[in-house]
Amino acid sequence: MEMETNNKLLKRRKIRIYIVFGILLVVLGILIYEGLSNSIEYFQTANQAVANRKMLGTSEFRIEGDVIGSTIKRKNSETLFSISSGKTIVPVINNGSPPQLFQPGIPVVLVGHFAEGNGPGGTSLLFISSQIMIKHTNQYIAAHPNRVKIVKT
Amino acid sequence: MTSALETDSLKNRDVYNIDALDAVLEKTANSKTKYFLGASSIVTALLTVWLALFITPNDEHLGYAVRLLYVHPPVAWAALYLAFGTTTLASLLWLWPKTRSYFWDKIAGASAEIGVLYLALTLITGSIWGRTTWGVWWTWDARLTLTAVLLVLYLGYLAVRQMDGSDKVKATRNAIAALFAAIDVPIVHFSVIWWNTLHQTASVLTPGLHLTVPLSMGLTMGVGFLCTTLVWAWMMRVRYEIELLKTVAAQIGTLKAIELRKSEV
Repeated sequence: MEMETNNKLLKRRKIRIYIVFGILLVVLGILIYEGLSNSIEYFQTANQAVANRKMLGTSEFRIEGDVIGSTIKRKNSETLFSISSGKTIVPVINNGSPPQLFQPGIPVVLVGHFAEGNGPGGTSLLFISSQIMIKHTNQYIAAHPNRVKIVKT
Repeated sequence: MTSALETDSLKNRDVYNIDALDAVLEKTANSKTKYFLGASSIVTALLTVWLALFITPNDEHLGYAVRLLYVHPPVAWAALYLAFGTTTLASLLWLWPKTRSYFWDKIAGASAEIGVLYLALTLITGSIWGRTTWGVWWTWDARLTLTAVLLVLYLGYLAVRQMDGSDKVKATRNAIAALFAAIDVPIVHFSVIWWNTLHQTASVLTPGLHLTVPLSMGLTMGVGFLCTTLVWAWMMRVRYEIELLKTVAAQIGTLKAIELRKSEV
């Protein structure tokens, strides 16, 4: 009698462990799928993207570059600016407002695609961005509270 | 099952003696090590809070949010290098015939439990920091994805520990599973170099160990790491005590059963 309930408990325990393994395997599968389709080439730098412009067409990818300060313009709900990497400059139009830390000179990763149509070089280099992510570097600089803030007008 | 535990307190002693068991219980209850670790954990935690919130400066770009620097990296280091490192080392010590002892299997399991807790905290604090800095809670870059994989691997390791078998089979199986999970640790570490990631590269554990943070920030990170290390040691000590008490409880159960049987005769 006691043996029987003991065996039942053991069996239930075994089933429970296999359910846990099953769930973990499914999660691992999802993670590996997302990793293989996103992480291997998480972004292309602006000059890589321009070099691959023909191949990229108007498909969605992530592009990386530094925001050129003098180019930032806000128009209604859109933000216009250019990013650079090396000597390459890519003009960007972003729908919606950028995140808090968006500022001149900061490196950003943009999700979006090149615009259709012809630009000066045959194909348009305008990048239509749906999301701006700020790429913080590993450098930290102490802010000086007494320093006079430069207000750009 | 629990009788397999070899500890200094129980080894070479007549464990079927109620006085000996009492002595173990007393010693455990009045452990100075435990209280020292607990007290110093709290002191360093308070010290970290004080340095982080009142002494260190804002960052020029991140502003006030830079203070997550004193939480996120120390928790991540403690998870990856301290906790999982201990699990890996203890598993090797089980597999190596000369050092084989069930003590190492228990240490490996206890450290992995704390590591999983720390790694979950790493992902949570990282997510909060990501939202304030990058603008997103999550993104599928190599560092983030591989860290999530690491969590699943060590949860799998803890599940493997629950599987049935003889003590020896279980300990060997656990150790092999631990070594398998550990493969991902260096991959997570170098992911920011091997692939393009949104996550930044190292600020302290850089090649050549050149700090990329001001000294005051670096020192506060150090105190934060000391804190997560002490909390790890504290939890390890408490976990060890639980295993010891389990063993004692099992021994007392056996003693009572023997006495009961004697009275029946």
